Amino acid sequence: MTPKTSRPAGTQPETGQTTVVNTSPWKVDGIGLVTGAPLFVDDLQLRGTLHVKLLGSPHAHARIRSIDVSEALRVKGVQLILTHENTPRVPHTTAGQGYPEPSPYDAFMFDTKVRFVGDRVAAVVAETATAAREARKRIRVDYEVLPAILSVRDAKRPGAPVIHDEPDATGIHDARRNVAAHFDFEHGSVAMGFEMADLIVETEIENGYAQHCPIEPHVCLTYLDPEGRVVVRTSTQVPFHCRRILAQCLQIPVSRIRVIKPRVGGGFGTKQEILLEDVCALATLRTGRPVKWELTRAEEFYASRTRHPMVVNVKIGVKPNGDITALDMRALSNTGAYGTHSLTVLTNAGAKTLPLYHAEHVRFDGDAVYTNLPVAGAYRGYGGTQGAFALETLIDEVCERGGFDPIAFRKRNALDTGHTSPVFAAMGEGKEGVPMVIESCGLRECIDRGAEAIGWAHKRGQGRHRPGPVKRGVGMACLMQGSGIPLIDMAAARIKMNEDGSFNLFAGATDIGTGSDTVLAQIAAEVLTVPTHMVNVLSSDTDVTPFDTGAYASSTTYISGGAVKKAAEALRAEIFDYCAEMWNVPPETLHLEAGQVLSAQGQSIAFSDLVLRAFMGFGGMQRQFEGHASHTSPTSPPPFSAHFAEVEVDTETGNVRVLDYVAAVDCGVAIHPLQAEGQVEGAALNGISYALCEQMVFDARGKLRNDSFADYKIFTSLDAPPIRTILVKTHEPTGPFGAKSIAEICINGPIPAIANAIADAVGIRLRRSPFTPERVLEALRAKAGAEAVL
Amino acid sequence: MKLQGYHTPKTLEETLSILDAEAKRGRSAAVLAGGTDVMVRMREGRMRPEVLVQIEALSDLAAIDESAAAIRLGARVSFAQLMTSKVIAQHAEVLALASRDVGAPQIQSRGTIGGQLGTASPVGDLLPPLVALEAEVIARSVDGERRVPVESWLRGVGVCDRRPNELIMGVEFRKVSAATRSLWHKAGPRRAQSISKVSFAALIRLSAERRVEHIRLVFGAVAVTAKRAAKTEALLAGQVLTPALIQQAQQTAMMEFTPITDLRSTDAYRRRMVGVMLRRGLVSLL
Repeated sequence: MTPKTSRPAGTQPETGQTTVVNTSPWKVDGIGLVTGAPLFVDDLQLRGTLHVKLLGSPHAHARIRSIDVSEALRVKGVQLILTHENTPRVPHTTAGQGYPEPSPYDAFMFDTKVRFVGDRVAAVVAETATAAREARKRIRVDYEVLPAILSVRDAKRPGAPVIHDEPDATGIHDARRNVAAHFDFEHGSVAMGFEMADLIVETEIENGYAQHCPIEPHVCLTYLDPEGRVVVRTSTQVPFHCRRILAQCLQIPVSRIRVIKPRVGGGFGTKQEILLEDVCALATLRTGRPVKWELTRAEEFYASRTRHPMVVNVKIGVKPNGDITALDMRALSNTGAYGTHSLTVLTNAGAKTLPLYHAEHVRFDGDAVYTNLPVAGAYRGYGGTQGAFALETLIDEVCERGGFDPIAFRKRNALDTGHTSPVFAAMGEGKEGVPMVIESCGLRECIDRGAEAIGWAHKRGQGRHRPGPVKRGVGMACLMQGSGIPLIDMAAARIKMNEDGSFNLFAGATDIGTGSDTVLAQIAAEVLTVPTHMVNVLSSDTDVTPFDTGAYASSTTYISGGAVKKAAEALRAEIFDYCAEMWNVPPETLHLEAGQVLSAQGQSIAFSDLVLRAFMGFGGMQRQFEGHASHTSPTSPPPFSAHFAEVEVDTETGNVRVLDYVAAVDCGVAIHPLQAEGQVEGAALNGISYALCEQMVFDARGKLRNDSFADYKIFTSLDAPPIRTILVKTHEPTGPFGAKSIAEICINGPIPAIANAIADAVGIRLRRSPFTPERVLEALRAKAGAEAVL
Repeated sequence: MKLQGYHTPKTLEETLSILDAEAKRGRSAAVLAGGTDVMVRMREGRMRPEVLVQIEALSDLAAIDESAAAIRLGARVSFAQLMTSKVIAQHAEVLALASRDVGAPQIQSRGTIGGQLGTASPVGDLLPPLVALEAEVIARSVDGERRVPVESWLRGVGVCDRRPNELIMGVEFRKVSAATRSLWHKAGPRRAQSISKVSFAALIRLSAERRVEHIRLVFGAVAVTAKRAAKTEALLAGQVLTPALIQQAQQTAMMEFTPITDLRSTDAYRRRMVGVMLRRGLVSLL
């Protein structure tokens, strides 16, 4: 056997013609999902499983003087009650991020202090959920109730209570002032930039708390394997981070933990957290029994994770020709009781928006502060949503004030292929970023095709003149995101070949309903010239699959897809080496086609024959064809998008109805166009619902008042407006087969596009989302009042 | 209190005697029909009956009966039935219109008119139409049957006139004349599975010269029960409907209610909606 050649990736020339990529085969997990196969965490019923119920804090801020569990332990069926008194105290972050995490270590499995209504006090582990609930009622806790911070604007006030006064927390920016995280940078001098400007416009937006609402709540099942290792079957976006953080919290070696991610019923960021696994795993280790914990829907609302509410102030200076002299963004982010994702969501508010428009002078300054409200975490869009609301509202306002055409203004100033931005180097995920030159950008085509589809030219500025109380308007927003975290996200994949010419793909990547298993199978299938169904995917089992950072940061297609492509190419190189020796031809003369190896000299062999031969030893050339590869990226090429909304505003009821919604997106080459469209529609609808009706409402003591789907309203199918997706094809040279990301970007469009459309229809600027009828009417009355005074 | 009993009576007589016996024992009994309120409230701990009496077997109560001048709806008549019944479409359209806005198809299939009357929620969407129709609630016990106008049946938030041993048999009301117009509007946060911020039901008959011959204006979710806008009705009754009068009616109606601010909306918004809904409804008649 000749030694393995170190062939550069892509020996087979990429013609740009693909047979599997950019087609939409059946989802590889589709049949199981639609036929109700037992594939979620909770579908596995193990004999003797214990159930967990959490005792949550009734107070927004309190110190626990004492906990008496004696009576609770006497409830029949109770096996264990975990509190701060009998669990390891390890400062950590629940954020499943790359190590060292950019989030402060301010969380403990259980603490002597509670910091929001619903915060962990004790976990009861019992034979039945009923027994656990019964025992929970019998836990006696003596609280010293502390003054609470229930508004983001109160957090930094002198004399405000200090939420994280524990001495062992680390990584908090300024605990005494309740500042979890801070970031600032300045390129040039915005002061000078504003001096050079002829027009300066400033705006300030505020978005509300929102819940991810995955269909499947957080759920975790732990049990011991025959060797006493703890197996964690969990609904997670980050199986490998989960394993590492569990080892940290439980103070056991990584080697004693196996994390399995089965099918997941949606994540949207809320499962980029280690929320249940520590308690379940510890309970399993203490009792030797399987332990299951599933959050109730109410707990999902107040005790899982939310979007970061932010107050974002942006200021722009422009020249009469439309050039931008300065762009200045200040953000105040409410991270809630713990700082999970506090820094990175904050920085992304600027990093995923400010580069979009060229400005000579640009600055970002932001704080993420603690409050005694539910914990904000990762949520699709990840700061980009908040930043885009601010920036795209501002652009619309500056166009209005300066008499610029919003489309021409954006096209004049927007990033394009071959461009760069100082923001790329200045702002990364919570620290400096990496410089990047844009290699693919279809934004202008997105704008043009989106405008055409919505009928911008004949609708903008017209709908306000309609007779009667119902006016119409169109609005737009431009967006960018990233594709993975450069030089941090890493994915690995392994692929092996079977004797029927099929393949097994082992990927650390985490399909949480996103369709990534299918996309990864397609990428492998494209390289190996087989149909998608010939690639069986096994993803996210820390004992079986190689490492992957996880399903977040819009990274899977781009980063994990890159790993899969390389792994498939490595396997292909093995095949070529083998056949070259078998046929005594140079490997460069070989290529794959439709599941066969062909040589330029006319030899050919089907994959099945080849593998049978390799397995069974004809002539002694026996081997398992296998490829593995790791992948990182030095850059994070942004997908770009232009969103357009046409709305109808009833000036008497304040109702806003979206009549038409167009999302034109450049995600490079869509590996699976139908799934890409699904991501666009899903994100847009998610965003429209958030823009118009979703909100979390708290009482005066910080308790969530609407912790159910009866009271927290998300759009139903009846409310869904028509959403039209336009995939604008570009080719990203650094992505697998030209692909960039698509998962998050489109949630950022609806709030500004709808706000701008409302402004077009009735001349009011809504700067606080959601745009409920009550708020619309209030703004209309304020405007009417102001006009009456004039 | 824990649930102690679950009855599935086969006949009306058996049902009434069970209700009577439980009342005499001092146990709280809840009648279970569609379960769209009872099941949810029990699960949330907002309702803790000791006994459930399931009346699925009482098929007579699922009937819509038409006589020469009146319509009688059994307590088990569902929203879905009201939406599709020709009799209702012809003689009590306002009920069909309101039923379409209740919950979603699942709720419409299970939920009943008896449930609306028993739950007596301020946001019960069929209650304003029933008040507008001047329906009478028919309640029966082993002691006999009595009839109570819906307006006095509804006593407060979640409080109705049902006696512990009584079964709601249904409602009866006079047919609405062909000349009478039915109005219905509901303001909610979204288009299905939505709880009213304000609802409005009206029955109005105008003469050829647009003189108001008959008028019932009823609002939901702006008072402890579905409530008539009595002053506005008085203002309009006998008058010729004109844009100026409608404007006056809008002002009057807004002042008639003192709605509250809660999770779903604000007092100010609700009051404005009372006016807007009324005006839009009346304007549609011009």
